[in-house]
Amino acid sequence: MKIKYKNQDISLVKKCLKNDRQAQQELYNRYKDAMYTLAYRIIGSHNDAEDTLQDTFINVFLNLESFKGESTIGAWIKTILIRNAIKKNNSTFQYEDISDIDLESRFNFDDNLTGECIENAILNLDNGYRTVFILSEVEGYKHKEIADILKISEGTSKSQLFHAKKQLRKLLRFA
Amino acid sequence: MTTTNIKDKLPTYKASDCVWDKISGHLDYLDKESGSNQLIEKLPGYTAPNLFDSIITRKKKKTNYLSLVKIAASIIIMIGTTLTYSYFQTQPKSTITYSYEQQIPTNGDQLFNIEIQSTEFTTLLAIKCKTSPNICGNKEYEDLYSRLKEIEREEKILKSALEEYNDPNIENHLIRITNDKLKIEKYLLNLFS
Repeated sequence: MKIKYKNQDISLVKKCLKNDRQAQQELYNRYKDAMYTLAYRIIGSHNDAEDTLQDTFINVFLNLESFKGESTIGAWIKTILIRNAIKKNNSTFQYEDISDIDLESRFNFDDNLTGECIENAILNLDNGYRTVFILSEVEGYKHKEIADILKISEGTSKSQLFHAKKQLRKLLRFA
Repeated sequence: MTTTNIKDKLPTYKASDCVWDKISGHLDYLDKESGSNQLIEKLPGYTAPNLFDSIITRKKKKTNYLSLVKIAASIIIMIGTTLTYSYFQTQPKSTITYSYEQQIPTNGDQLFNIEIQSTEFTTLLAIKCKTSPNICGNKEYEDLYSRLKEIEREEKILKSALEEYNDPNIENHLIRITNDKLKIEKYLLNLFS
Protein backbone atom coordinates (compact mmCIF):
# COMPACT_ATOMS: atom_id res chain seq x y z
CA MET A 1 0.00 0.00 0.00
CA LYS A 2 2.84 2.39 0.96
CA ILE A 3 4.72 1.63 -2.27
CA LYS A 4 1.55 2.12 -4.33
CA TYR A 5 0.92 5.49 -2.71
CA LYS A 6 4.51 6.55 -3.32
CA ASN A 7 4.17 5.67 -7.01
CA GLN A 8 1.02 7.77 -7.27
CA ASP A 9 2.92 10.62 -5.62
CA ILE A 10 5.74 10.34 -8.16
CA SER A 11 3.34 10.40 -11.11
CA LEU A 12 1.53 13.42 -9.67
CA VAL A 13 4.78 15.25 -8.99
CA LYS A 14 5.94 14.60 -12.57
CA LYS A 15 2.74 16.14 -13.93
CA CYS A 16 3.13 19.12 -11.60
CA LEU A 17 6.67 19.62 -12.90
CA LYS A 18 5.17 19.92 -16.40
CA ASN A 19 3.03 22.76 -15.06
CA ASP A 20 -0.16 20.67 -15.38
CA ARG A 21 -2.59 22.92 -13.51
CA GLN A 22 -5.01 20.04 -12.81
CA ALA A 23 -2.26 17.93 -11.26
CA GLN A 24 -1.13 20.92 -9.19
CA GLN A 25 -4.68 21.40 -7.93
CA GLU A 26 -4.89 17.71 -7.07
CA LEU A 27 -1.69 17.91 -5.06
CA TYR A 28 -2.97 21.03 -3.33
CA ASN A 29 -6.35 19.43 -2.52
CA ARG A 30 -4.65 16.38 -1.09
CA TYR A 31 -2.75 18.37 1.54
CA LYS A 32 -4.51 21.70 1.92
CA ASP A 33 -6.64 20.97 5.00
CA ALA A 34 -3.90 19.27 7.00
CA MET A 35 -1.44 22.06 6.12
CA TYR A 36 -3.98 24.78 6.85
CA THR A 37 -4.77 23.25 10.25
CA LEU A 38 -1.07 23.02 11.11
CA ALA A 39 -0.48 26.61 10.01
CA TYR A 40 -3.37 27.80 12.15
CA ARG A 41 -2.10 25.91 15.19
CA ILE A 42 1.34 27.52 14.83
CA ILE A 43 0.17 31.04 13.95
CA GLY A 44 -3.17 31.31 15.73
CA SER A 45 -4.86 33.42 13.03
CA HIS A 46 -7.05 32.10 10.21
CA ASN A 47 -6.17 34.96 7.83
CA ASP A 48 -2.45 34.51 8.36
CA ALA A 49 -2.81 30.74 8.10
CA GLU A 50 -4.49 31.18 4.68
CA ASP A 51 -1.71 33.51 3.51
CA THR A 52 0.87 30.98 4.71
CA LEU A 53 -0.92 28.16 2.90
CA GLN A 54 -0.98 30.21 -0.30
CA ASP A 55 2.71 31.18 -0.04
CA THR A 56 3.65 27.58 0.76
CA PHE A 57 2.03 26.07 -2.29
CA ILE A 58 3.40 28.77 -4.58
CA ASN A 59 6.86 27.95 -3.16
CA VAL A 60 6.16 24.25 -3.65
CA PHE A 61 5.22 24.60 -7.33
CA LEU A 62 8.02 27.01 -8.13
CA ASN A 63 10.66 24.87 -6.42
CA LEU A 64 9.34 21.40 -7.10
CA GLU A 65 12.45 20.56 -9.10
CA SER A 66 14.44 20.69 -5.87
CA PHE A 67 12.33 17.90 -4.30
CA LYS A 68 14.71 14.94 -4.28
CA GLY A 69 12.30 12.26 -3.02
CA GLU A 70 14.26 11.71 0.19
CA SER A 71 10.99 12.11 2.09
CA THR A 72 7.38 11.92 0.98
CA ILE A 73 6.04 14.93 -0.87
CA GLY A 74 3.71 15.61 2.08
CA ALA A 75 6.62 15.79 4.53
CA TRP A 76 8.47 18.12 2.16
CA ILE A 77 5.47 20.42 1.84
CA LYS A 78 5.03 20.38 5.62
CA THR A 79 8.62 21.53 6.15
CA ILE A 80 8.10 24.47 3.79
CA LEU A 81 4.84 25.32 5.52
CA ILE A 82 6.38 25.27 8.99
CA ARG A 83 9.16 27.62 7.91
CA ASN A 84 6.69 30.00 6.28
CA ALA A 85 4.46 29.90 9.38
CA ILE A 86 7.38 30.80 11.61
CA LYS A 87 8.31 33.71 9.36
CA LYS A 88 4.71 34.91 9.45
CA ASN A 89 4.65 34.58 13.23
CA ASN A 90 8.06 36.19 13.80
CA SER A 91 8.73 33.34 16.18
CA THR A 92 11.94 33.46 18.13
CA PHE A 93 13.54 30.59 19.96
CA GLN A 94 15.80 31.22 22.92
CA TYR A 95 17.94 28.72 24.68
CA GLU A 96 17.69 28.51 28.48
CA ASP A 97 19.73 26.08 30.48
CA ILE A 98 17.45 23.49 32.07
CA SER A 99 19.83 20.58 32.09
CA ASP A 100 18.78 19.28 35.45
CA ILE A 101 15.11 18.91 34.56
CA ASP A 102 13.50 15.78 33.17
CA LEU A 103 12.64 16.85 29.62
CA GLU A 104 11.32 13.60 28.33
CA SER A 105 8.16 13.28 30.41
CA ARG A 106 4.96 13.35 28.37
CA PHE A 107 2.44 16.05 28.91
CA ASN A 108 -0.78 14.63 30.27
CA PHE A 109 -4.00 16.41 29.57
CA ASP A 110 -7.04 15.92 31.74
CA ASP A 111 -9.47 13.74 29.77
CA ASN A 112 -12.32 16.04 30.75
CA LEU A 113 -10.86 18.90 28.77
CA THR A 114 -12.39 19.47 25.36
CA GLY A 115 -10.33 19.81 22.22
CA GLU A 116 -11.30 23.47 21.90
CA CYS A 117 -10.18 24.15 25.44
CA ILE A 118 -6.81 22.50 24.86
CA GLU A 119 -6.42 24.38 21.58
CA ASN A 120 -7.21 27.73 23.24
CA ALA A 121 -4.56 27.05 25.85
CA ILE A 122 -2.01 26.09 23.18
CA LEU A 123 -2.82 29.24 21.18
CA ASN A 124 -2.09 31.32 24.28
CA LEU A 125 1.46 30.01 24.56
CA ASP A 126 4.32 32.28 23.50
CA ASN A 127 5.03 31.91 19.77
CA GLY A 128 8.33 30.04 20.12
CA TYR A 129 7.01 27.67 22.80
CA ARG A 130 3.85 26.99 20.83
CA THR A 131 5.73 26.13 17.64
CA VAL A 132 7.98 23.60 19.35
CA PHE A 133 5.08 22.18 21.35
CA ILE A 134 2.97 21.66 18.23
CA LEU A 135 5.83 20.09 16.30
CA SER A 136 6.84 17.80 19.17
CA GLU A 137 3.67 16.89 21.03
CA VAL A 138 1.09 17.14 18.24
CA GLU A 139 2.99 16.41 15.04
CA GLY A 140 5.36 13.92 16.65
CA TYR A 141 8.68 15.33 15.41
CA LYS A 142 11.82 14.39 17.32
CA HIS A 143 14.00 17.19 18.71
CA LYS A 144 16.69 16.56 16.11
CA GLU A 145 14.10 16.98 13.34
CA ILE A 146 12.67 20.12 14.97
CA ALA A 147 16.18 21.53 15.27
CA ASP A 148 16.78 20.91 11.53
CA ILE A 149 13.52 22.51 10.47
CA LEU A 150 13.75 25.54 12.75
CA LYS A 151 17.52 25.94 12.39
CA ILE A 152 18.05 25.81 16.14
CA SER A 153 19.98 23.45 18.37
CA GLU A 154 18.47 20.34 19.90
CA GLY A 155 19.07 21.87 23.31
CA THR A 156 17.02 24.93 22.39
CA SER A 157 14.22 22.73 21.09
CA LYS A 158 14.15 20.79 24.35
CA SER A 159 14.19 23.90 26.53
CA GLN A 160 11.42 25.52 24.48
CA LEU A 161 9.29 22.42 24.93
CA PHE A 162 9.95 22.36 28.67
CA HIS A 163 8.79 25.96 29.01
CA ALA A 164 5.81 25.30 26.76
CA LYS A 165 4.62 22.50 29.02
CA LYS A 166 5.17 24.62 32.12
CA GLN A 167 3.14 27.48 30.65
CA LEU A 168 0.44 25.13 29.44
CA ARG A 169 -0.01 23.59 32.89
CA LYS A 170 -0.63 27.07 34.28
CA LEU A 171 -3.07 27.96 31.50
CA LEU A 172 -5.03 24.73 31.88
CA ARG A 173 -5.23 25.12 35.63
CA PHE A 174 -7.54 28.04 34.98
CA ALA A 175 -9.40 26.33 32.16
CA MET B 1 -4.38 11.24 27.60
CA THR B 2 -1.23 10.43 25.72
CA THR B 3 0.39 12.57 23.11
CA THR B 4 -0.96 10.46 20.29
CA ASN B 5 -4.49 11.36 21.34
CA ILE B 6 -3.90 15.11 21.43
CA LYS B 7 -3.87 15.39 17.65
CA ASP B 8 -7.14 13.46 17.41
CA LYS B 9 -8.80 15.67 20.00
CA LEU B 10 -7.76 19.04 18.61
CA PRO B 11 -10.19 20.59 16.11
CA THR B 12 -9.29 20.54 12.42
CA TYR B 13 -10.03 23.16 9.79
CA LYS B 14 -10.68 23.42 6.09
CA ALA B 15 -8.92 25.94 3.88
CA SER B 16 -11.30 28.26 2.05
CA ASP B 17 -11.80 27.78 -1.71
CA CYS B 18 -10.40 31.18 -2.61
CA VAL B 19 -6.86 30.10 -1.62
CA TRP B 20 -6.51 27.85 -4.67
CA ASP B 21 -7.84 30.65 -6.91
CA LYS B 22 -5.08 32.95 -5.60
CA ILE B 23 -2.38 30.29 -6.07
CA SER B 24 -3.55 29.47 -9.59
CA GLY B 25 -3.83 33.18 -10.47
CA HIS B 26 -0.27 33.78 -9.31
CA LEU B 27 1.05 30.80 -11.31
CA ASP B 28 -0.86 31.98 -14.43
CA TYR B 29 0.67 35.47 -14.05
CA LEU B 30 4.18 33.98 -13.76
CA ASP B 31 3.54 31.85 -16.89
CA LYS B 32 2.46 34.95 -18.83
CA GLU B 33 5.49 36.94 -17.62
CA SER B 34 7.87 34.25 -18.74
CA GLY B 35 6.04 34.09 -22.10
CA SER B 36 6.36 37.83 -22.78
CA ASN B 37 10.02 37.81 -21.73
CA GLN B 38 10.69 35.02 -24.21
CA LEU B 39 8.91 37.02 -26.91
CA ILE B 40 11.01 40.11 -26.24
CA GLU B 41 14.15 37.97 -26.47
CA LYS B 42 13.01 36.65 -29.87
CA LEU B 43 12.35 40.14 -31.31
CA PRO B 44 15.12 41.36 -33.54
CA GLY B 45 17.45 43.83 -31.99
CA TYR B 46 18.91 46.64 -34.04
CA THR B 47 21.43 49.36 -33.87
CA ALA B 48 20.68 52.77 -35.23
CA PRO B 49 22.28 53.39 -38.62
CA ASN B 50 25.37 55.55 -38.51
CA LEU B 51 23.96 58.22 -40.83
CA PHE B 52 23.94 61.11 -38.43
CA ASP B 53 27.53 62.19 -39.12
CA SER B 54 26.98 62.49 -42.86
CA ILE B 55 23.69 64.34 -42.41
CA ILE B 56 25.16 66.69 -39.86
CA THR B 57 28.22 67.33 -42.04
CA ARG B 58 25.96 68.02 -45.04
CA LYS B 59 24.02 70.57 -43.07
CA LYS B 60 27.24 71.99 -41.65
CA LYS B 61 25.75 72.07 -38.27
CA LYS B 62 26.74 70.37 -35.08
CA THR B 63 23.64 68.95 -33.62
CA ASN B 64 23.54 67.45 -30.27
CA TYR B 65 21.75 64.13 -30.64
CA LEU B 66 20.32 64.41 -27.20
CA SER B 67 19.03 67.91 -27.93
CA LEU B 68 17.22 66.54 -31.01
CA VAL B 69 15.47 64.00 -28.87
CA LYS B 70 14.55 66.65 -26.32
CA ILE B 71 13.58 69.32 -28.88
CA ALA B 72 11.56 66.98 -31.13
CA ALA B 73 8.44 67.12 -28.92
CA SER B 74 6.31 67.77 -31.98
CA ILE B 75 6.80 68.66 -35.66
CA ILE B 76 4.07 70.89 -37.09
CA ILE B 77 3.41 70.50 -40.77
CA MET B 78 1.00 72.64 -42.68
CA ILE B 79 -0.69 71.08 -45.71
CA GLY B 80 -1.93 73.33 -48.39
CA THR B 81 -2.39 72.67 -52.07
CA THR B 82 -3.23 74.81 -55.08
CA LEU B 83 -3.73 73.25 -58.46
CA THR B 84 -4.55 75.14 -61.54
CA TYR B 85 -4.94 73.66 -64.91
CA SER B 86 -5.09 75.20 -68.19
CA TYR B 87 -5.59 73.24 -71.36
CA PHE B 88 -4.65 75.97 -73.67
CA GLN B 89 -2.26 78.15 -71.64
CA THR B 90 1.00 77.63 -69.95
CA GLN B 91 0.30 77.80 -66.36
CA PRO B 92 2.72 79.40 -64.01
CA LYS B 93 4.77 76.93 -62.13
CA SER B 94 2.98 75.95 -58.98
CA THR B 95 4.60 74.62 -55.99
CA ILE B 96 2.91 72.02 -53.97
CA THR B 97 3.92 72.00 -50.41
CA TYR B 98 3.14 69.39 -47.91
CA SER B 99 3.59 69.43 -44.29
CA TYR B 100 3.45 66.61 -41.87
CA GLU B 101 2.55 66.71 -38.22
CA GLN B 102 3.78 64.11 -35.81
CA GLN B 103 3.40 63.76 -32.10
CA ILE B 104 6.07 61.84 -30.23
CA PRO B 105 4.26 59.07 -28.34
CA THR B 106 4.81 58.95 -24.62
CA ASN B 107 2.40 56.22 -23.67
CA GLY B 108 0.72 53.13 -25.06
CA ASP B 109 -2.53 54.90 -26.05
CA GLN B 110 -0.68 57.14 -28.49
CA LEU B 111 1.00 54.20 -30.19
CA PHE B 112 -2.09 52.96 -31.90
CA ASN B 113 -2.13 55.63 -34.58
CA ILE B 114 1.30 54.40 -35.81
CA GLU B 115 -0.03 52.62 -38.89
CA ILE B 116 -2.08 55.62 -40.05
CA GLN B 117 0.95 57.92 -39.64
CA SER B 118 3.24 55.45 -41.48
CA THR B 119 0.88 55.21 -44.45
CA GLU B 120 0.51 58.98 -44.66
CA PHE B 121 4.27 59.47 -44.52
CA THR B 122 4.91 56.91 -47.26
CA THR B 123 2.34 58.73 -49.45
CA LEU B 124 4.05 62.05 -48.72
CA LEU B 125 7.44 60.61 -49.73
CA ALA B 126 5.98 59.25 -52.97
CA ILE B 127 4.69 62.75 -53.83
CA LYS B 128 8.05 64.34 -52.96
CA CYS B 129 9.93 61.80 -55.11
CA LYS B 130 7.79 62.71 -58.14
CA THR B 131 8.86 66.33 -57.83
CA SER B 132 12.48 65.57 -56.83
CA PRO B 133 13.40 62.22 -58.35
CA ASN B 134 17.16 62.87 -58.13
CA ILE B 135 17.01 62.94 -54.34
CA CYS B 136 15.08 59.69 -54.18
CA GLY B 137 17.62 58.06 -56.46
CA ASN B 138 20.59 58.62 -54.21
CA LYS B 139 22.09 56.11 -51.78
CA GLU B 140 21.50 58.17 -48.68
CA TYR B 141 17.78 58.35 -49.33
CA GLU B 142 17.61 54.63 -50.15
CA ASP B 143 19.45 53.64 -46.95
CA LEU B 144 17.22 55.83 -44.80
CA TYR B 145 14.10 54.59 -46.54
CA SER B 146 14.97 50.90 -46.12
CA ARG B 147 15.81 51.50 -42.45
CA LEU B 148 12.44 53.20 -42.05
CA LYS B 149 10.64 50.20 -43.50
CA GLU B 150 12.54 47.84 -41.19
CA ILE B 151 11.48 49.84 -38.15
CA GLU B 152 7.87 49.90 -39.35
CA ARG B 153 7.90 46.09 -39.53
CA GLU B 154 9.32 45.86 -36.00
CA GLU B 155 6.70 48.34 -34.80
CA LYS B 156 3.94 46.10 -36.11
CA ILE B 157 5.33 43.06 -34.27
CA LEU B 158 5.70 44.98 -31.02
CA LYS B 159 2.26 46.52 -31.34
CA SER B 160 0.65 43.12 -31.71
CA ALA B 161 2.66 41.80 -28.74
CA LEU B 162 1.56 44.82 -26.68
CA GLU B 163 -2.11 44.17 -27.56
CA GLU B 164 -1.73 40.56 -26.41
CA TYR B 165 0.37 40.94 -23.28
CA ASN B 166 -0.07 44.59 -22.26
CA ASP B 167 3.47 44.48 -20.88
CA PRO B 168 5.08 47.82 -19.85
CA ASN B 169 8.50 46.57 -21.10
CA ILE B 170 7.05 46.04 -24.58
CA GLU B 171 5.38 49.46 -24.46
CA ASN B 172 8.67 51.18 -23.55
CA HIS B 173 10.51 49.34 -26.33
CA LEU B 174 7.81 50.35 -28.80
CA ILE B 175 7.95 54.01 -27.72
CA ARG B 176 11.75 53.99 -28.15
CA ILE B 177 11.75 52.59 -31.68
CA THR B 178 8.83 54.83 -32.69
CA ASN B 179 10.87 57.84 -31.54
CA ASP B 180 13.79 56.62 -33.66
CA LYS B 181 11.47 56.16 -36.63
CA LEU B 182 10.27 59.74 -36.29
CA LYS B 183 13.87 60.96 -36.35
CA ILE B 184 14.53 59.07 -39.60
CA GLU B 185 11.34 60.53 -41.10
CA LYS B 186 12.55 64.00 -40.19
CA TYR B 187 15.93 63.37 -41.86
CA LEU B 188 14.19 62.06 -44.96
CA LEU B 189 12.05 65.21 -45.14
CA ASN B 190 15.13 67.38 -44.65
CA LEU B 191 16.71 65.84 -47.77
CA PHE B 192 14.04 67.61 -49.85
CA SER B 193 14.47 71.03 -48.28
